[in-house]
Amino acid sequence: MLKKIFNKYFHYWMIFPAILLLAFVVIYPTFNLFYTSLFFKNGQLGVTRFVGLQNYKKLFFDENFWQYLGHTVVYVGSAVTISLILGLIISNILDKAIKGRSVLRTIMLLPWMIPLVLTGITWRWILQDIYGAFNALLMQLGIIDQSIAWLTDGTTAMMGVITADFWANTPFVTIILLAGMQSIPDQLYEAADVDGATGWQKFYNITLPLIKPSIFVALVMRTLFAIRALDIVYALTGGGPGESTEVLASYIYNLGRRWLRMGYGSTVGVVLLLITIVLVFSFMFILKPGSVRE
Amino acid sequence: MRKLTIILLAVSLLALFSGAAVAQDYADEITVYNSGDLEHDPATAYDIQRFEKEYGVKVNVVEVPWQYQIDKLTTVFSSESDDVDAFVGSYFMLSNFAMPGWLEPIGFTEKEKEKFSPGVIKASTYKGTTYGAPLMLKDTELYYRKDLLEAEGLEVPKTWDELVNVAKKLTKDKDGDGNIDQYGFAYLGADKLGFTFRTFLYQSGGEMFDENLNPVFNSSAGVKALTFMRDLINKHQVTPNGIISMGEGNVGDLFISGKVAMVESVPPLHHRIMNSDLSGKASLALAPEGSAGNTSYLDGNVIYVSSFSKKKKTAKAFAKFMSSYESSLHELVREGNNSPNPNVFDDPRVKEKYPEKWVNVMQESVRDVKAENYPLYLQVEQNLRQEIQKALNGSKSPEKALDDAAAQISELYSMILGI
Repeated sequence: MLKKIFNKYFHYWMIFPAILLLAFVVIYPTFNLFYTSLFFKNGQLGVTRFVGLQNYKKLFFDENFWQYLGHTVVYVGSAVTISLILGLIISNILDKAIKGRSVLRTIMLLPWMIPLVLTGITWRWILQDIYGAFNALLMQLGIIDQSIAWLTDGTTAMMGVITADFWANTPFVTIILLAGMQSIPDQLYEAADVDGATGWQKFYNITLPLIKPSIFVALVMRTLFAIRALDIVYALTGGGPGESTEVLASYIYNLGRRWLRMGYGSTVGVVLLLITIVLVFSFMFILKPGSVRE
Repeated sequence: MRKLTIILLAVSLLALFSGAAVAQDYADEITVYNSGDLEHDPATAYDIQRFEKEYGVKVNVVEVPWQYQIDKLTTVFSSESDDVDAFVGSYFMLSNFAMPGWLEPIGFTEKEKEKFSPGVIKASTYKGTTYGAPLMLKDTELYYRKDLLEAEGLEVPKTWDELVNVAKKLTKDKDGDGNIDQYGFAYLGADKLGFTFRTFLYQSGGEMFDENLNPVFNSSAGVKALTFMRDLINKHQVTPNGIISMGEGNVGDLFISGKVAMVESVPPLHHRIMNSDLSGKASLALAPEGSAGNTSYLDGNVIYVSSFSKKKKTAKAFAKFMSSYESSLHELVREGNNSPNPNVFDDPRVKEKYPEKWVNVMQESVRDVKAENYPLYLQVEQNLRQEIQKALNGSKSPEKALDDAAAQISELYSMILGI
């Protein structure tokens, strides 16, 4: 009898360890995040009090939250878009049979190999106004005649954070897209050549539609990485000047980890999680397989 | 002869057992969280070895970057864990850990306290109880290029006004390309911006909080301090614009590379200077006086003992050992960290290491240091720093920036602490 049941539900038994692992590393933390968000929980004061949805109400009127959400949109939107465009260009170049391609591929990967904290510190040096390499380069090229303190102004500091981010993460996008490009059969391009298609037409009508699944993966992964990015922001600007580069991930870190306001920090975390889920589903909708041009 | 042997045997046994009794009083090992890694903390490493040898106690050191120390320790202590027996932390961490009851009183006698600069003991004391054993301190001093001042026939500035005048004369576009190649003056920015503000605040006669923990740094003294910091950059143009994002290391680099002629920085810089090409060209002076003197904000390290430790006696012995005259001396001679004990500067080993003038300046400077204890340090510091940055980059006036910071901190205290 037992053997019969075991055989009947064999496939469930096989995936049971995976479900157990998922429950442990995904479901429980997510549930706990939501559960904690219903409490006033301050680790430093040792106070835990159930407050229901009050944290969510407070969040709605929290100026910092809205301000940092705006910064997050600018940061994630710019960094992901730029890295996607650059990734497309670079992967397209590396997909061609150019000389030294394998060396170029290795070099291209270097920024991605560097820990993000180091990337942030390196860019802080690069963007310094007195001895920074970026100012020196612009002055050599005659683009500016006075050093600019990039990290002193809110807008230029945000541009610095975005630059450091896409510099570090474009290789990741490139690899994903390159893998997609290399899976496209050569016959399609040969047929297009016979029809007299231009390079752009081949890219737009063959490459782009066929790498849509890769674009989806790259987009989702990059967005997830950027939304929760903390390392570069902290190492490069520390959220400043003022709070002009403070993003939701750093707000959550400050609230939960540094200030031990775990309840409210979890509330911001839940909202960020919901935003992320909505974004991922939006990407799935926009880039759904049916939208691929046949 | 036999009688003598018996007496000797008895005395030996007594000595053996009394020794064993002392040894048994201490734990075999303790765990200490150190601020930063010991590779860059040779004096601390050396004194830990001395303690281990002298007390027969193994010290397990966990190295934690100072920026993350509060986070890590708060996590440990909030779970009432006894994983940490003692830690080397900053003076400003006191309220954070003493307020929830996570620290053990260090147990200094009045005589022991008298050895230290009064400001240091005050900064280590929370609500009348001393919790920190002072290890070293970082006070603000003026580092200047002796050769550049002499070349211009300038005297070392003693007041803020003099500082501005001298800095103006030392700010130069050497190659005539329209870019300043040498700035007159710099102070510590980035994560140390709040420290710099407090030094200027105290020198203007202001304070951070009143006795009821109401923010009072937005007083006229505070506005004067922040206006001074802003004017050095924007009005007088003697301080680099990018100073907002330059911390202790960066500012030291600027000075050593000759990009800045004078800096207000903290002691390890004199150690760097002595090991650089500037040795002999640079010198040290007291920070120029504001309208209320030249009190310096007190930064630096103390040893705290965890109230959750099961080895408190050993941990306290460790803390006291590390704040002893000899350990302080090693901090000064081996690492260049100022001593919280002013008498250490009279030691011949200090005078052998540093020029006499420097020693005198250091000794006088550590006698007039100040730090206030207030809770939720990190949040307060972040609010303050953000608003200072806004005043410095011109997006807010100093008055508005300080009023906004004070309002945010009041709201924070009201929300979290119910004050």
